[in-house]
Amino acid sequence: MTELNESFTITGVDGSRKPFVTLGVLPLLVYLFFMLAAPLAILVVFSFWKADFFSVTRTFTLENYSRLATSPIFVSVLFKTLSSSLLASCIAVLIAYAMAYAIVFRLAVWGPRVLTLVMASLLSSYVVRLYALTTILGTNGILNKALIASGLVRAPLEFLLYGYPAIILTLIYVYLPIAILPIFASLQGIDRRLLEASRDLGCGPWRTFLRITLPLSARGLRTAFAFCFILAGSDYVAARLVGGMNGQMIGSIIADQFGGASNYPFGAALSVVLVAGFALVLSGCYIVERATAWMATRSFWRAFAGLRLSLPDIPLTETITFLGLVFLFAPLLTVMIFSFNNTPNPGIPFTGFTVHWYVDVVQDPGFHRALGTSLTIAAISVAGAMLLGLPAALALARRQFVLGHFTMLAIFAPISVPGVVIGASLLATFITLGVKLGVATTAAAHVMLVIPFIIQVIRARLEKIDPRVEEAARDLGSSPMRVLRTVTLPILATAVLAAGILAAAISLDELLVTNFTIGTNATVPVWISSQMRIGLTPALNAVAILMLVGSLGSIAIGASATRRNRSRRFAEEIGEIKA
Amino acid sequence: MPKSRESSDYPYIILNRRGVLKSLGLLGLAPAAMALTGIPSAAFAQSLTKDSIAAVTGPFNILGSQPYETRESWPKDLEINWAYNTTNEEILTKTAQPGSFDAVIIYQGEIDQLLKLDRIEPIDVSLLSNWNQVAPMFRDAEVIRRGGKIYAVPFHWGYGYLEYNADKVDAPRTYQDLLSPKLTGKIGMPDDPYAVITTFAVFAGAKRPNNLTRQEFDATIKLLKSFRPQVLTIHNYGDEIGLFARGDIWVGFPEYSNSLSKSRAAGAKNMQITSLAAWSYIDCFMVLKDAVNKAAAYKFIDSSLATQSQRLSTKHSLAFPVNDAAIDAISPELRYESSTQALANAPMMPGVTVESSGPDVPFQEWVQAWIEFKAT
Repeated sequence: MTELNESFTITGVDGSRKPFVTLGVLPLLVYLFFMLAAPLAILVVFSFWKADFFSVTRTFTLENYSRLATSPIFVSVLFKTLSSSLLASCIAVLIAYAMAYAIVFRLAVWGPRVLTLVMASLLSSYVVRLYALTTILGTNGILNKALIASGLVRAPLEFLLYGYPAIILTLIYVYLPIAILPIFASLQGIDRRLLEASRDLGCGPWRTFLRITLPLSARGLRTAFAFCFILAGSDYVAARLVGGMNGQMIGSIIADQFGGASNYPFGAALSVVLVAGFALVLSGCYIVERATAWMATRSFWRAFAGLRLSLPDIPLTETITFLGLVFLFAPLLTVMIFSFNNTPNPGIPFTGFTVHWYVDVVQDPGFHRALGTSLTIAAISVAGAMLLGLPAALALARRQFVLGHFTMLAIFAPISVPGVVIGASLLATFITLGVKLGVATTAAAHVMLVIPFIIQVIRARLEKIDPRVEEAARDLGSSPMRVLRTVTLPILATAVLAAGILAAAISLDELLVTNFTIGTNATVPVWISSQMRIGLTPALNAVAILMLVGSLGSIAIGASATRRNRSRRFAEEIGEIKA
Repeated sequence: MPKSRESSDYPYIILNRRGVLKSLGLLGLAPAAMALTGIPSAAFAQSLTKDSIAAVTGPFNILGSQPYETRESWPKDLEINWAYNTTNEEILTKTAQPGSFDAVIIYQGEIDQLLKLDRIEPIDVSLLSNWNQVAPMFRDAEVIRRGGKIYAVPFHWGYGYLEYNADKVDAPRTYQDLLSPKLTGKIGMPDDPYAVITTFAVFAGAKRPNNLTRQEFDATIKLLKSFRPQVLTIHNYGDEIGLFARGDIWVGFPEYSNSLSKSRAAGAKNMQITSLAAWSYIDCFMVLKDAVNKAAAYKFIDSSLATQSQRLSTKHSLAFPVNDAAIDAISPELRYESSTQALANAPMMPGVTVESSGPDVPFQEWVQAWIEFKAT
């Protein structure tokens, strides 16, 4: 939220806050309590119990934590996880800032189109995109072949895959689009008149950037970093796939404890320590940020910010944006090309053209069933998340209340906990309560997972609406419900649509939690991961492309359904995720 | 042989309750009664006969890996709902909810784990018309029995072989060959503690590779750790096909039946196999104690053992059939004369104990050692 928007929020405070806040936020908090807080609390308790075979013995112990603390292996993996996600997040945020800056300030009419492309890169199967990276970076991968063919190197560069560089590169690839969105939203919210005023007062571009743009977008930057860092730290699939013998992350060890190792207490202790590690690093970043802000008031920084640098007039952010798009789309292009490969391998060598993988997928009854289940879950979870998220977003954007910050923390809690931990704790809870696993339990879990995104998109849009418009409607005699129906919701339509599509995309690609809660059913990601047991085939590339085309088709339909300023507005809405 | 379901193995009180429930069921009140009494509907399935199995219809929930999902061979009168496991251990988490599944397909090594969790029950093979079509090597195998009772009906089998790219490396004949500097960072292993540690136990000279004493286990893990520089990556099953095709790895072990032909088809045309440190597994059907439609489970299992079904599932999964009449469906490069001959080079394994109080190192410790190996 920008400073300007915050002032809108304050203006919107009125005397009827209590029922508004209660109705808007309470159902969501109750839901999060039962779906997240209670299961996680049980997990924390587990971490102080002893392990039994796929169960626990209720004897208090600290041995899980002492085992962790005294094991150089686990400590080093924890350090590796946090350091690699920290490095990847820093790089991703820098690139994301340049791209978001270009989208907002430099690319004019191309900006929204580039943003839509960035979003589109998220709308395909995550796992299949990761496999495409191995096709590009492998020993005899596309990149090495290109480098050798061009004479730049004589032998394949083996460090490109299976090592730290590959892990960092892959984490940047996966989380770059997610970093771009909040930064874009914060830059988009900056009043251009402030930049104009700065220039009118004689500041050069560099000084204007340091004194105006950067401070006003700091919040988006912070959010982007937190998103990236937490998601990258929880992600173990990417590192395992491309990291070779260095690819074990703490999330992987947690998953193993809830799997074959059957040591729930130790898995719980690892989860608690991981979340504590996130909190520690983010606190450290906050301290660094405050220190930087303090330094900004010192003479050295003032002198630095006041420098009149004559930077060469090169399109730096535009170039980074172009390269960033190539980086994001190269794997997608690889997925697409090799979905037509004639061999059962979705990578090089490309031996011939065929469309039979698409025919196979379209005719596969297992895929039909999985697709039907996925679409049902996505529909229910989007509807449920809207039902809970829309009132909460309204309350958060229009009212300031005592539990406001707590509510925001609660909303983002599902992102900060590794998926495997959420999945395992939900499984234990559902089984204990005798709730039958299936579509309903998975949809309930997905509601929790997509709510942060829905609330952020809608809230960001709400903060841009001048509350005086609603006030005017009330002054003219409209009831609160009528104001909501005839003023607020119509203005929010594009944001709701964008949030819904984003949420559906997340739901359709979710695997870690789903695998625990789906029971006797299967979703598309579960079907894909099961299919991989006999080898990744171009059929899975075909599935990923079909998912991408389907999602883009939905976006196109949604965009055309919006009447005014549709493509630009829609691209803006979908990117308005910020804290 | 297991006794009939009407034998005295089953508590008298259950029979009485079942009788009551059956009567209520006639009135359409069974579901309500079960909900009130908390008795699982599996109680209905205790008195199975060949006739009742043949006549059964309705939903049947099975958990198994996707390669075995051969719809063409399924009994048409069952509404089959197939759910997938991507790792062996998922069988344990996904069957945690009573009544979710009627049967599972998993390798015989999981019997002890499922028994420990009280999830499976003995299978009355006298109710399976096609039981005699199963080759004697599997039908009489000790590895599917516990305490003299059959807990697992063999469905397909395979052996873990060493696979290598003959364009890059000569056939490894001993463990020492695998330590060649040429192979440093050129070997792949599946992320499967059972498979890898069993193989290294064979390399370490353990007489019973699934039943390791503490000393044998430590020696095996030491050997495994010393092998680390040779390993490029620990992959998911199926990933080795791309790894071989791209030339990232030259040797992989233990790999399974579908790997060779798929790797060749994917572009690594000169892939070969050796039976160095080979051992066998049997993927089996197991019937869950809380199965809602136990008769359907028997019907499905019986149908899957028929020759035509075995041919179809062999072609689809590339795993080997347990019915020797379906051997002709095996891909030519791996086809054998008889299962007896094929099993001679790759002994069957019983699975690893999960009891920590016995002389053998339990499976949980295998997994922890594997986790530490990966994380080192």
